[in-house]
Amino acid sequence: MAEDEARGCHYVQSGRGKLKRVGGRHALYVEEQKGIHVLNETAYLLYQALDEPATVAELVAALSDLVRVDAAMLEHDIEEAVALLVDNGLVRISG
Amino acid sequence: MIGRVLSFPLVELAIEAPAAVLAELAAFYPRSLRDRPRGVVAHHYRVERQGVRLALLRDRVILGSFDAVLPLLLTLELEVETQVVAHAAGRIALHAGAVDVGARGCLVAGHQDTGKTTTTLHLVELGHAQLCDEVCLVAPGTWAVEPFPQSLALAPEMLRLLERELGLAAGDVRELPVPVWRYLPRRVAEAPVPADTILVPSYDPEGPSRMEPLEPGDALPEMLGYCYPPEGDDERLFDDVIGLLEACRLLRFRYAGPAAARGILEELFPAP
Repeated sequence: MAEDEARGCHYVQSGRGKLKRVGGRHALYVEEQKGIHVLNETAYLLYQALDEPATVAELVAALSDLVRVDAAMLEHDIEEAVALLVDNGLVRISG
Repeated sequence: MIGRVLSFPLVELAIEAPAAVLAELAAFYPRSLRDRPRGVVAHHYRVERQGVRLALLRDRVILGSFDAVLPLLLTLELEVETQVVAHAAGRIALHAGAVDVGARGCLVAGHQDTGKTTTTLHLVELGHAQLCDEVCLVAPGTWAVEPFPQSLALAPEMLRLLERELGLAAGDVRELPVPVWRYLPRRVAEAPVPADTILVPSYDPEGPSRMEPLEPGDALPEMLGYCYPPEGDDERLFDDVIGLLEACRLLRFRYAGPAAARGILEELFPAP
């Protein structure tokens, strides 16, 4: 998907992941994959923010107060994390 | 032909074989061969001569035909592991050894050739009782590790090295004409104990030997890789393994060589 196109998309949780705590972190269990994805702090906050549809820009705005990195790096990290969550079937494009 | 029972946690396996075969089998399971079962026998194994070859049967079905005793016993050993795991009855079944350290279980988890068995041997040589090797059954909730002591399979070169550098005072070495020899611990645990430590050994020749704490979230994917597949409910297995990791101290054990490894382990698990 082209970068501009990706930025304009709304993303949302796919409903296929079941959130679990693992020590001080979180993981998503996906039954159909018989797999579990351990989330780092940013990925967890991102996943939580995607309980409602949101664009990358909206996610950057939502997370900027919670994650202490500069805006450009945060946007890059979020784009990468969203792509990874989409690839693993945990997040889908909404609408 | 002589009848015996291989008696393991949660499963009893009857075996009928020539005396010479049972004598070799004793090197694999010195504590588990009994005259009578303690419960219902799940399967009946038989070793019988078929011409110049030996056949291994389970419940009258041929599992394999062999030209020597030891390949047959190695196949039987895999079969035993399969049956122990199949009868785990809801327990987590891990590819791990375990040792009773002060009435607490220290699991040593890892794939082949990572130092799992050597680490278990070190702990036995430090005076702790062996719980199990290769297959470790842990009860969810209590984290009780079932005792399933058996001989440790190690390369002859490693056993010779350990004997030369550190001595082997807590077990007996049985030399076999195969790529691995057997080390038979003299001190074994007889009752389940709750797990409280998981070691994940990793050979690091650049050194120094050290223990690195792990967080449950970091260890989870790797530990799931050491689990035997569950009978059905994967989510339950994941929840149980998460619980086990949260209940235990988790350590990556990086070792550079036998003497350094023994020293680090002795600091953490002093002799009783």
